[in-house]
Amino acid sequence: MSGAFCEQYGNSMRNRILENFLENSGIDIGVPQLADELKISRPKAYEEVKKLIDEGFVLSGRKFRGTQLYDLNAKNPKVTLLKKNFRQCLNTILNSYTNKEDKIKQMLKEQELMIKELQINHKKIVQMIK
Amino acid sequence: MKIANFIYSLLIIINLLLNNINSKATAKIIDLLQRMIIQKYIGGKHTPEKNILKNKIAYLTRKERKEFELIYTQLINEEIIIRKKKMTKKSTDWHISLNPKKTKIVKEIIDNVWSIL
Repeated sequence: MSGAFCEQYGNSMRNRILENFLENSGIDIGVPQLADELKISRPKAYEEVKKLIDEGFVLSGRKFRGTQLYDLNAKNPKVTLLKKNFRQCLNTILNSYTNKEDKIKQMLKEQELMIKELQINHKKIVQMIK
Repeated sequence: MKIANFIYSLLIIINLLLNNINSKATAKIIDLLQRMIIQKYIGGKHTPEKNILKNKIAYLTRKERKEFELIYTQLINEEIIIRKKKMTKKSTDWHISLNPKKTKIVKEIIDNVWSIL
């Protein structure tokens, strides 16, 4: 499942895995969990994670009940840039929803004003007819 | 009244998160919120609860899981996460989505926790 980050940077397997690591930044995750969330096979996930380790994006961390966990390499300047971009993505999505709410409130206010004006005009017309 | 409610719910959740700031439960809750935002599970778009939570709780100890559940129930009680029963083909499932009316609180929570972390 690709998110807003992949919409900007391209919906490739590598980007989807990076997006998942960015979501879990600060916490180590295992490859089985990663494969399950992205709905890809485990061998493919292991392959992609190995490539990311070679590039210096990901580090291997502790072991939990036999499974090796991985985390983002915080010392890599490219990772800090990616984190910034990820947070911007989050902010833009949240802002779009808050703007929608404000717009709906404005629309409702305008509609109320319109109804009041119409009621006043209606009264005037009724008086004129009388 | 609206502003008071906003501040009240924000304070409760941030307090809960800050009390367990070193634990992984807090970080997992923030991850959950981030995942729901980035996948745009807001308002009408929802997802099965077990699909999201299954992987989030995977590598937590029993104590951390309890902390996670405590904060998660608080988020549902404050109506930041909407939880509804939805009909599937054969049975029913619990589905969750973010409340679009409370996106400001979510933003505040994420910003506050990020600034401390």
